[in-house]
Amino acid sequence: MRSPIAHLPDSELAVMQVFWRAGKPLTRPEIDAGLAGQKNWTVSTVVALLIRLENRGFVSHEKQGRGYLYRPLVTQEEYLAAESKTLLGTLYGGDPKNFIAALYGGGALSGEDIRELQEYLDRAKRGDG
Amino acid sequence: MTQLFLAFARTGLSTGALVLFFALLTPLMRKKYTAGLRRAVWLLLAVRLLLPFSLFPAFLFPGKEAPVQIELPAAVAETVAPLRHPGDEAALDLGQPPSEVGHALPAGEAHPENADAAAGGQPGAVPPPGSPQAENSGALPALLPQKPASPVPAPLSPLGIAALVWCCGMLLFLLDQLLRYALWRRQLRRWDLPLSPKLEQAVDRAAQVVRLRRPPPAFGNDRIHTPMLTGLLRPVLLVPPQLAEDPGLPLMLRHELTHALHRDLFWKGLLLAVRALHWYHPAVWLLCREAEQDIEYACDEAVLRRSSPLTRAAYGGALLAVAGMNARVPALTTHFSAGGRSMKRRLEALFSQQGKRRGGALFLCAALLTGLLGGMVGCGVEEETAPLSSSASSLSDLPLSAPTDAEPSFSYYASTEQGLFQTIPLRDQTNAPLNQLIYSDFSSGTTGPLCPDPDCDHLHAGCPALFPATDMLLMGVVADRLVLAYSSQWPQDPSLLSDCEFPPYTLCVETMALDGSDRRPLVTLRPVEAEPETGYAATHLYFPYTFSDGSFLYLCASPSFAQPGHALFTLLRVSLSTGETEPLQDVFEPCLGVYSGHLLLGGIDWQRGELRLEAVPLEGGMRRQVYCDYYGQDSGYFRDGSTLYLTNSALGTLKKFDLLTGEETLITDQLPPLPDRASQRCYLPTQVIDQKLLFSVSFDDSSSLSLNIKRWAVDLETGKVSEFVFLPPEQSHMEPFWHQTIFAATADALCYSVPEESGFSSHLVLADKASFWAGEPQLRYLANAPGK
Repeated sequence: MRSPIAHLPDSELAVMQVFWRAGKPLTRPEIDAGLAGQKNWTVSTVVALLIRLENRGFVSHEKQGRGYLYRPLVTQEEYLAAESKTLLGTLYGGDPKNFIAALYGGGALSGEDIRELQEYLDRAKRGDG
Repeated sequence: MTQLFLAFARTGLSTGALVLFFALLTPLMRKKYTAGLRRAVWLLLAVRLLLPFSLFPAFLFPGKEAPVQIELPAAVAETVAPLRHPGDEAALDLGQPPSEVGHALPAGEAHPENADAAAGGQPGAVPPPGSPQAENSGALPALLPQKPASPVPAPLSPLGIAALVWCCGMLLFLLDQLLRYALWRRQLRRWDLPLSPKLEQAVDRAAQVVRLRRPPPAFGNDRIHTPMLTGLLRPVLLVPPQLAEDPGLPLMLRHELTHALHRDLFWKGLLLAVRALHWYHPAVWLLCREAEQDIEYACDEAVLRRSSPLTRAAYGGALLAVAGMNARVPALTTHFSAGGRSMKRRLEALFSQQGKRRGGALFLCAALLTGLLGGMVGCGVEEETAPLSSSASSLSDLPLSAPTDAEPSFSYYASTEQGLFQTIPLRDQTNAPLNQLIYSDFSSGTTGPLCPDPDCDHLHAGCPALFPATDMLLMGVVADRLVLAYSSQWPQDPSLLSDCEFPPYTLCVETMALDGSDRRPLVTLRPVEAEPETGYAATHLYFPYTFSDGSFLYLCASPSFAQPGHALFTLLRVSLSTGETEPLQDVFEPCLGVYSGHLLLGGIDWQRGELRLEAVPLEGGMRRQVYCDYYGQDSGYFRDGSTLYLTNSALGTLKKFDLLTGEETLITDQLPPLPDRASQRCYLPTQVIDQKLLFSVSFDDSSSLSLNIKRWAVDLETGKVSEFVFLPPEQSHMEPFWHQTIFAATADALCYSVPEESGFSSHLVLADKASFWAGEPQLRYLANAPGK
């Protein structure tokens, strides 16, 4: 039984995101490459972050050749699900509509609505809507 | 604070009445006017609500406040009741100093003296403990009677309490909104990542299409499902990376960038401020709701301006896909939920944009009404005009592209000083149509497939001279490259054909170096089912309706399913440098060409006996008449770029008409009389080459009882008319009796084809220019094209 997933600070999250984007276990140089362009961390910083992540149960490491291979233990979906369950996530889970311009900002439509609207659209496309 | 509250409350009352007025007009405005106009009206009202220094001119609208009163929620209405007493409103006159407002309130409710008396004598009217006003008043009961005009309201005044409630409500509302946003954005920012090159390209393309010069910084973000623009001061575009392959992505990006172009986040922030200031006012909430809706509609409208029904459908599909991402279980009811209804309205709006008015006059009325009702004076008017003009600019026409003439035109051949490009139709092993590009070199006299590989057999796929063109291949030489456009039948998926009246075509534009190397696709437009974004191009290529102005190629593409009422064509503009393709406008009739940023329409009306030409700016706008004059059996016309050549065989005149300036010049009135037994009564000019206008007339030759032809060339500089032939006198029996196109004019020669002795095929020849115009052409035969 794993301990509950903790809320990660930004720097540790950035490391986890490299794993999630790659979708496979990574060596440390590969992690460095994944962070390139975003963070300008030294080797020791990255190693320190990996140790912290390992203590939190987010990654494990195994010997591979001359270095280590780091394996993510938590998926992005699991992490996101846990993060949205926090108090703030519950209170302020929705998007602040006043500050966003998105294609569609309304609430979710029901499947039935979508089906009917799609039919309408098909009719309109054929020119008899 | 009380005065500020009163001032805003008054603004709220007067403008609230206007909001209700326009809300009642909404169904009408939806039907008749564009969303852009509605958006502008709502934003004008919103700006008005932020300006506290208007006063309700009671002399103009004595009983007007009554209906607004009903609007207030009961709890709030109770608190602010004194404010809206009828007698009270009448007293709130323009000329009255704000500090005396308290005096105008009816006795027994909020009058300072009464309040003082209450504070002194009635323990039941003690203010809420802890309120600063309460402590203040407790300390100064004796001072107040000596300062009757004090701007500080009496401690127990319900007005003061109302003001306090108002202020607290405002702060709470703002705090809640800002905190919510800050937390949300902080959470989200952790997931920002640089865009993949593909997404970056898609964003750049979309920015080009919506003409956004400086697109906002863009990031990928795993946590969102739809592209969004966020941030009040410095908007940021967030794109979910999983949409990279989504066919609707370009349309979604265009939507977001159009928001950036309209500065919609600024306006949304303004609406938020309005809502905070007037949080108790239902009409203001109504205003904000309508404004936000119309901001979206106006954005849809701008994205889809001049696009075909196919693009509209694709856009609606993308909208639905986004809305469906969190689809819940099917509802029990068959009716739309509230969200579904509003979505239906939005989809309907996508298809009903044509024929709506932009309504500048209505907007002016709204502005005037807002100004009048608000009693705007002095600086107030100036402050209002600033946002007004910025809204109006989004309604005005976009500027025209740099005017250039419609040359070089696209045709089934193209030429340079060195040689001629043509195509010959072939069939491959499966009997599918192909076109082979051949090149005739003027100096060496050789003709062959345009393929730089000497070992190629020019028959197998991979040869750069082979094109899977179903019909004719159109080409032109632009900036030292050969540009080729062709349509080929959409491959072999019968399921795609079921919905279509005509088989869909893929439309390809490719470029290659003049020696046949470096062949590159510039743009490929597929039927809508494959690629919704470019669905307008599920099409044939119409040969006479393909134009170029050197930097763009204009294609008249027809939808793959033509429906009554639908446009005949969609005019597409393809950038010859980037391949960027955009639909310019729907065209409901055959078009004659493109000149100087305009699309030329119209033609001969035989019933009225006139030639009428009209032009529409390519970017859309007013259609206007550029030429209209007599046109009868004796008339002929030919257009070259923006110049119209008009002949009249009865008067023997050739005139030149400039479509840009409207200037008419007589070139000559000495055209030769028509030959006897001419097959037509007019001269039909057919070509301008080498500064000469060519025309010909065929006639029955009484001596040989066969059809014969006379050809003339008019020198456009001098007006001198001369006769010419295509073959030297000893071969005159072979002279073709149809109009013959001269493919190319080099410095000293003209290139055209002449019939072979057998009459079954033709030869490409180079005629020495001087001898040709002298009427005795000296010919040099070029080698025949293989396969001919």
